[in-house]
Amino acid sequence: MTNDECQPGAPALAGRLYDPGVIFIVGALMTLGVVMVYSASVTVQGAGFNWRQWWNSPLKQGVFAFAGFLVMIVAAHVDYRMLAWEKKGDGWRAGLLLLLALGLLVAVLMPGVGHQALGARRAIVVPGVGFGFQPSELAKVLLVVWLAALLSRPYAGRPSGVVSRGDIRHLATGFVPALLSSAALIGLTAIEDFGTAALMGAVMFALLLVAGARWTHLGFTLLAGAGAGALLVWIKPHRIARLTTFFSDSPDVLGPGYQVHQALLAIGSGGWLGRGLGAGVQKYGYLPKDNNDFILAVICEELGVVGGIAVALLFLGLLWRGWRVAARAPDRFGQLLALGLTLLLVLQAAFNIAVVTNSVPTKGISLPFVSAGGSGVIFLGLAAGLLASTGRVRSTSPL
Amino acid sequence: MRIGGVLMVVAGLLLASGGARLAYIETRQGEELRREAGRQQTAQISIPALRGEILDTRGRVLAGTIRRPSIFVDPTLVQDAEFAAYSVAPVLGLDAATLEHDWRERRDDRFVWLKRRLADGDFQKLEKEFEELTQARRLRAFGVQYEPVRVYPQGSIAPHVVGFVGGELQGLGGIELACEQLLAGKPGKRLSTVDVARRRVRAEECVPATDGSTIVLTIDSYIQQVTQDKLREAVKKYEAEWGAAVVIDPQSGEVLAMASIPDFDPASAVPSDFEQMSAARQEEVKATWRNRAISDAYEPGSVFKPFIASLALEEGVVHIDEVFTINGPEHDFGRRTIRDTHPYAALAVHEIVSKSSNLGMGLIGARLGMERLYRYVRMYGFGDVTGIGLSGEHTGLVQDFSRWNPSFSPQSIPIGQEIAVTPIQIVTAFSVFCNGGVLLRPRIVRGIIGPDGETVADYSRPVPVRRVLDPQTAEMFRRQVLVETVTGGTGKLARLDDYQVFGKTGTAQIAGPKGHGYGSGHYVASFAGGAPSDYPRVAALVSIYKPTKGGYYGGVISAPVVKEILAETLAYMQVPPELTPADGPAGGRRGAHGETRERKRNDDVGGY
Repeated sequence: MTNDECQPGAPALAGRLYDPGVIFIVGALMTLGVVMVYSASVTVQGAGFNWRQWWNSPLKQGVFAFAGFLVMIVAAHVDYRMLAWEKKGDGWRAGLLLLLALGLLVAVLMPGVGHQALGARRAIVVPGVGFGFQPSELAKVLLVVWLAALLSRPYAGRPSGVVSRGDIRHLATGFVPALLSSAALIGLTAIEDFGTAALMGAVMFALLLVAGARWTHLGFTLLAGAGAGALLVWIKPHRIARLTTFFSDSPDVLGPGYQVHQALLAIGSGGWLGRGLGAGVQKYGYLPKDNNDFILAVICEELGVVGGIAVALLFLGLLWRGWRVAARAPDRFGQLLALGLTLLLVLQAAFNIAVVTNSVPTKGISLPFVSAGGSGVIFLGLAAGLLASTGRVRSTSPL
Repeated sequence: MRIGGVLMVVAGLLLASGGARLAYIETRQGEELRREAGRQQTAQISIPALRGEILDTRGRVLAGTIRRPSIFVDPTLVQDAEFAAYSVAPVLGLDAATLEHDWRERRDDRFVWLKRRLADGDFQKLEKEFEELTQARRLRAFGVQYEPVRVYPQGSIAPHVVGFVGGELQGLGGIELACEQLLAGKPGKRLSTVDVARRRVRAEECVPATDGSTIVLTIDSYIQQVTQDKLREAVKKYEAEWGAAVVIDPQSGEVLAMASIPDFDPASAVPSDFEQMSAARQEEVKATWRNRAISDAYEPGSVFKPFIASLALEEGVVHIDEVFTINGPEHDFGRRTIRDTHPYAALAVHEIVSKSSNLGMGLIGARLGMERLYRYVRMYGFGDVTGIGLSGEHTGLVQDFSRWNPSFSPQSIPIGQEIAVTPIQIVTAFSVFCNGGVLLRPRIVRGIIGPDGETVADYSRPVPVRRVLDPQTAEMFRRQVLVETVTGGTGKLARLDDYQVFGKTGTAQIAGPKGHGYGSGHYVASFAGGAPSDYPRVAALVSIYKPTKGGYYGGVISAPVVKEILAETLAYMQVPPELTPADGPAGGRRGAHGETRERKRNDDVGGY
């Protein structure tokens, strides 16, 4: 596909609705999340619901999921091309979003603004309300939006040799700006949230690859990324402990290996069909972060391995819908946006499942739409909404 | 976008492998993980069974179980061990430094006893103070649990029979040990799923405890108390090493009282500082636990004579009025010289027994021969345990006659030497004279009542072992020979005003430490007796071992004890007096009334 195939004004909204598959799958995951987070949280918080203090209730996730679903629907109704950089000078919208993400990521690092929990400063506390939000959740979505816009902008300026200025294959004007802007976001995220940063790095790499970046550039980027990653592992001792634990033959199940071990116990004690909804025991204090990063273990304990596989299948369904949307997107921006968002969601899910099943070293990363937490479900709802919105316009040209 | 497709496929494969990994974990490790999770998530609490009671024959509680409060601590909940230890130590009367050290050492134990089995009064006082303290200082780690405690409401009544228990209420002696299984019951259990702090999430399985059974003894507290007290007095008065007494219902074989002195208090049988005691002191304490009436065998001496004489009469080897030429006071039987305390010229067989002539018995023994003597000894149950059902019963020592020495055993055995017997064996054998000639198994457990009040076992019927004597022989022997011992023989001090007592004295020399020679100057003073002579309701044996002061003859120091026990017991049992004052203590009345009754009983006994 080339840029000139993307004709301005070509099949506008054309009366089509956003992609219903994405909405349906994400809605199902959010619903599952509300139920399972309730099940996992009710043990500690009690079953009552108090409207005046709804954020202290296990039903809190219901409120978040509702908000996330609304955000998704609203975003699905918005024409995604609002964010595109189709004409020269349109880039300010996506650029503004990039700056917003950068600003928030810097803000969270400032003492007094950022809220520290479990050794990581990840959330910004909104004064007056009892909870905060995590800028990194927003940043990863905005990274995809920004890169999709940047990589689909009309090439400007004089042609330089074979490759025109601004083309991704052009190092100084194409590749480096894309890389640097992304690296800034990823780097800021990585300081406190290595898992999300790694995910963002993978998505960035995928987008650059799809956009047609040169292999040499990508190769050096990979090396640099690996070096940066190693450095980040090295500066936080608990990350090394997690690595050695993962590669150990007999991990210390009372020390760094405790969490994953308990997750495996949850999976094992659920068996194929599970102990029944609400009947899990590992959530009674054995499994840390049971309603969050390890919600899949609770799902497996209560709904069985079958339930866990069903979750994986839902994400596979999302992948299929995302691919369909990307393949049918009418313009380069839509394609890159759909592809990036789909990869973002699916890779995060795959990453989470891998952590819970002890396939990769423990890394704090949540299961999209399912894990407890407002920021995740709302901002990923935004991502899903944008994805669905991209599906509303159908490309007339073959890919 | 072809590259995009490849990336999508890769992402899809990653997801699929995650799902596959779940299935893999389940198939490969599922069982093992489930087991481990089960171990981690379930807690089993044992529900203790209430230990059964021990009752006397009239249902008085000799041993029972109550629950007493104990205070424990969960060291994991102690935030500041030093602060907590120094807070509670003064209230509990414990040493703070020890507590603190202990809690630090046993951090992971989750359960450490602080003070166990407080008396009710103490606890009420302590509870308030302790509660206020823990509230004020926000100490959450302490709790109270009620623990069963064994109590002996009548104090030291038949401690050797009842026995005692250890720290976990396990039986360590007497019935407590012998009937451990029945008394202990079966603990129940409660399986619960627990959270990480071991709090119950839900109950899984509950097996209620089966409480222990109640053991009803044949012992009567009153008779036991009398027996103990009289025996204790005698042991103290004569400064003896130990004393044993057994009171039996000779018609049924029920043991009414069984006493050993020294004794102990079952509530504190094991002193709290037992472990710190020297070995010698520990042995001393252990010696008080010894039930001499069944566990100690000694040479019985003259109290043994009736058994040999009665069977010699039964089998017609001698006649009751047959006169033996004694030519006392001593006589050489081969290498062995036997002496009498009085120089008799000649004695009839009944006089040989009532005057306890060693020479006369020696002559009878010589006529019987070893094989027959051995048979007689075994007929009366010597050399076998009686089967009373208490642990630690001694068989006594009866060597096979093939190992006897023909040159003096035929004379030694009839006078109660060269064999060792236990008090329970003597009193059991003595009952043969009282019940028409039947050897009964002595019984101390009358029945067992299950936890729900049902009868588990009824042992209230007499258990005959074998017929030893013909009823006529038994009766004649009792009425003529044994009564004569009390009226005109060595047992005069056992006489009662209202009842005709019969019996036999025994003063056995204790052999030297190597088992040879009787020169040690130590004696066992025994008296076996019963009353009334018409229809004996009670038989008793008192043996006093190594009296060192005020005499050593069985007829002098043991006979009065038996007399007092018989008097108290007969009065307590409301046995009608046999003698009127006119009869005088010396004359045995043999009325027609008594004869009829005796004959009737004999028929019963004959039916065994």
